[in-house]
Amino acid sequence: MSASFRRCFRALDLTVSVASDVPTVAATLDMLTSCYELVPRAEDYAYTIDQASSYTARVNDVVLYESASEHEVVSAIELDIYDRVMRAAQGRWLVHAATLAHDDRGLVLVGASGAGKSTMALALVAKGASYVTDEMTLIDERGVCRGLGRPLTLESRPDAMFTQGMRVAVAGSGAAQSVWVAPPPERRSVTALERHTWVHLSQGPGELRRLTSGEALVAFWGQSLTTDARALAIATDVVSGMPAYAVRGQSIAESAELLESLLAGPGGSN
Amino acid sequence: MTARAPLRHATVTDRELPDGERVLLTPDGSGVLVLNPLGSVIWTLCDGAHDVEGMARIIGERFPEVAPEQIARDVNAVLKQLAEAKLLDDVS
Repeated sequence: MSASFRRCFRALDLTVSVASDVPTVAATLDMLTSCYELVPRAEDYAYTIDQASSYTARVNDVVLYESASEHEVVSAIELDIYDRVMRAAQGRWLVHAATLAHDDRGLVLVGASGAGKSTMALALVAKGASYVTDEMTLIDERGVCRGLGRPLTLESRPDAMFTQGMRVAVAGSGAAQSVWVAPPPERRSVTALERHTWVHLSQGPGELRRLTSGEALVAFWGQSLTTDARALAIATDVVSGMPAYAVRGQSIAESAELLESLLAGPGGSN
Repeated sequence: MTARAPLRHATVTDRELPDGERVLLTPDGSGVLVLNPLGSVIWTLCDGAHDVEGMARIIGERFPEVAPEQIARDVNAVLKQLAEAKLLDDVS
């Protein structure tokens, strides 16, 4: 296949390629894969999308999904990558969490769906933090933190003041709409982070409070994507050794201010 | 109903936290139960050899500052929690 678009990248422990010679699909794939760490070649999975009477997505030459909707086949690839990443992460601690990097330290944001992780991540990138992930954070046996480098994914277009200098694309429509935001390379990080601060985000009257290790474990385990004994051992080490906080705000802006004070203060660097 | 001499599941994963707390992983992995230091001792006494009264006596020696009535209440509450989380063998 003579692909007009082909990119090889690292999705946590997997190396993956995506390719398509359908121009509109190529543009979408370019956006979707723009924040991952590039690698010279893909060892694990090769995804393609071609177009005949409908769009067909394949993985390693096996049909994955067919649809008349370009957005659906792209989503099928996206979800398949996440699924394989989750399976490859068994034995480590994979958490549904956003992560930013700030002065070589990770800031891991955990919260229930709708707690505002992606919006908060975008707000903090706009204030100078580097973007790592808004979806999956992996902690390995040595306690090192890495993220799934997909673009920030939001349900609606954010305030333009947050996206200056960033690439924004809207895919799909209605309830299936995704807004992707890709910060520029200098505002992204694929560095493995050895030190990290953990934050549980929620909505309510403003509060910034240090969590005990037991409170932190209960709060963060609820968003675990790997739940075996080895994951628990890593999670226990994390809450025993890294600072953890509860941050609550009536709005993203209020919580972002509390988080900024945390990053500026001694708690962000101990 | 809690067993007379409660016995913890042999396969339950448990880890100690630095401040004396202990975390237990529920059998399906979906949840964790965090026990305070007193609860942590109760868990270690769920060895099939100690009944509730025996547990309360040992804990009373370990935590002399806590009133015996309080200890009895705590032992029963923790055993109930453990049973509800399906972390004890169902023997009587």
